[in-house]
Amino acid sequence: MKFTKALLVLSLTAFGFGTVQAKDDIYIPVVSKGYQHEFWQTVKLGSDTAAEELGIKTSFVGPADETQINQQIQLMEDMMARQPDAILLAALDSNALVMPVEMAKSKGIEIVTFDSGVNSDIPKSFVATNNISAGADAAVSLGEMLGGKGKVGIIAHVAGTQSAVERAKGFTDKIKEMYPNIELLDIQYSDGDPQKAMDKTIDMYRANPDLAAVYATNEGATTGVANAISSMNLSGKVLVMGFDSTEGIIAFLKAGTIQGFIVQDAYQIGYQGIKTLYAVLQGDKVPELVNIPVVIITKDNIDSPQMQSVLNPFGK
Amino acid sequence: MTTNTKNISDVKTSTLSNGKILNKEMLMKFAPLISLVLLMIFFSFGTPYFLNTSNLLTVALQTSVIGIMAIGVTYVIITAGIDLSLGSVMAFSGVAVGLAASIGLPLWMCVLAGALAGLLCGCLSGFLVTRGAIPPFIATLGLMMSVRGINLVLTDGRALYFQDYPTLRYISQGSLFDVIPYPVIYLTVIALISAYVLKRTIIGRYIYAVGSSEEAAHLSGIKVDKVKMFVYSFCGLLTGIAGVILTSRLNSGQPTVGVGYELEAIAAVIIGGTSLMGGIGTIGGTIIGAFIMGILKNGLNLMGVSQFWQMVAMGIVVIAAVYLDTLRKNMK
Repeated sequence: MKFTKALLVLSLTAFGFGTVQAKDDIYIPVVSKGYQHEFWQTVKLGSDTAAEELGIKTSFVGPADETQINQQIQLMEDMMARQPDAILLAALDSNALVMPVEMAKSKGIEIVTFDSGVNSDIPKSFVATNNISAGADAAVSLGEMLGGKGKVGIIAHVAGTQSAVERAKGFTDKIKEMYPNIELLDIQYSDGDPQKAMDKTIDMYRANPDLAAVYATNEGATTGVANAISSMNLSGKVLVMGFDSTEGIIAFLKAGTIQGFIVQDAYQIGYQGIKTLYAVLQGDKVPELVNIPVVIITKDNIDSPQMQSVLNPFGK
Repeated sequence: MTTNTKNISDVKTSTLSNGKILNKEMLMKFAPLISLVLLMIFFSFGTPYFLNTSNLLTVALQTSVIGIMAIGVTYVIITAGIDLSLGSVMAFSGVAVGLAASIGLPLWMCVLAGALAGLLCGCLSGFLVTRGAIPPFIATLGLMMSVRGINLVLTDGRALYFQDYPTLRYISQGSLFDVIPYPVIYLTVIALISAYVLKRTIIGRYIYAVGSSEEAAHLSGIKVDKVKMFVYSFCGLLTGIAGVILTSRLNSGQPTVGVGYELEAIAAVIIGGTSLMGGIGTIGGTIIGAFIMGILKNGLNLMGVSQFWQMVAMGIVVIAAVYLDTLRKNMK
């Protein structure tokens, strides 16, 4: 039996040597961080549209949630088995994903990263919100609202991912530079899970009853923080500066639980990501960093047409 | 009616005497292997990217981590025990490697630290099950939660990186003759050794005996506690090794890694024909079970099926496997 088993496997493997795939269409899959947040859904809309306009094939995959780093590595490996021309990647961990990126290079597959990059020179470009300046913008806005003093807590999302690191750093550096009287608490991580973010915010408040404001670095964290503040009836007493937009977050802003939030143009990130990769494949020179601008939405400007178009790229 | 005799010679006579049972019995025994072949045929038609050496080697690489853990827990399950702490222990070993690296120990000591961390947790489980007389499910469940917590405490929730150890990644990312990934070699070696111990050594016989009937084993002079200590420690050691390989693959010690891996490993063992009731099981079956899961994931990825549907598919496969297992037991 063991012999037949071995023979079977060997013959199946032998088949593989002769397999040849003919490729005419350009194929650029997107490996995102997952589907947990509306952000990624919007990125997908952007990347799908760009692919349609360029007449190329694309697909959008991601791990089940943003802590599944091993799963993302496996996804990269499996996507590479489909022999794409290039891959658009948002790395869950900037070090762990270096290996699949190097593997892609050895197979002649071009890489462009978006939202969160890797510690490697291989990607031809990085399409993202400038997370450091976005964090700084949030700091300026919140600092003004607080009048330059008070205790501020930070609820970030996933500790190893570049976007979290930079959004927190941009914020803290700016606060220290412009508002030295603001006291910053230690950064807490929520893994992008609204429930964890909510629990951590509640605990933060209990430990610091004089808490003046909380800054959240992504959609899940913001939702959790807002839920916490609203459940403790502290809307308006403890200020909230969030990141990313959803229907829920917009509603919180209108209700006064959130005072402001940063909106990334998720659609543009996906759109420009695919366009940039296409340009790379055509042999064009592309900028190393493609910066997609952010806006800060507050109660004052939410109804302006410009802000509305960023919030709802496809109209309502 | 059905006395669950797990005596090997009994099975042999019953298969020889009745032609009808021969066919069903054989089918049951080879069900895992047949399923694996069918799955591979399915994916060969489902996507042109599946059936080639490069992809199959990738699958083997991806399966090796769960495979090694599954081999370890096969020992435990054969004794009618269970170990739910595998995922947390795997992360713990990664954290141990990271901590050893952070104090500047040479690479081989860091790797050893990882393996020993797993062994330590295994011994702890064994201790709780034997001396503490705590049911394995509860003991390892508690360990699963506490060890996960300890990982987060030791690392503050953040990953540990290995900037000063550029060679760590070659443990998992290198390959023999530039073709066969090292983890596949590790899996093969560990599988061969584990199978040998199980089939050809006295401790192996004792493991099956304890699983078949603890009472009878005890009465025939087998030190049941020692056997249990052995299987849990062995499982812990293998989980530690799997953790080191994963750490090398991720090039980081991630405290949050491995959530749910224990269920995958146990599923692989069950699909491979090992019974949760103990006394039956083979390493070969476990390997097949692990590959069924690995190929399922890889094939579905290649066909573009979402992660969520993949989870549904895996659940269905596990239930089907256990159902077949129940059918087979009722036939005896």
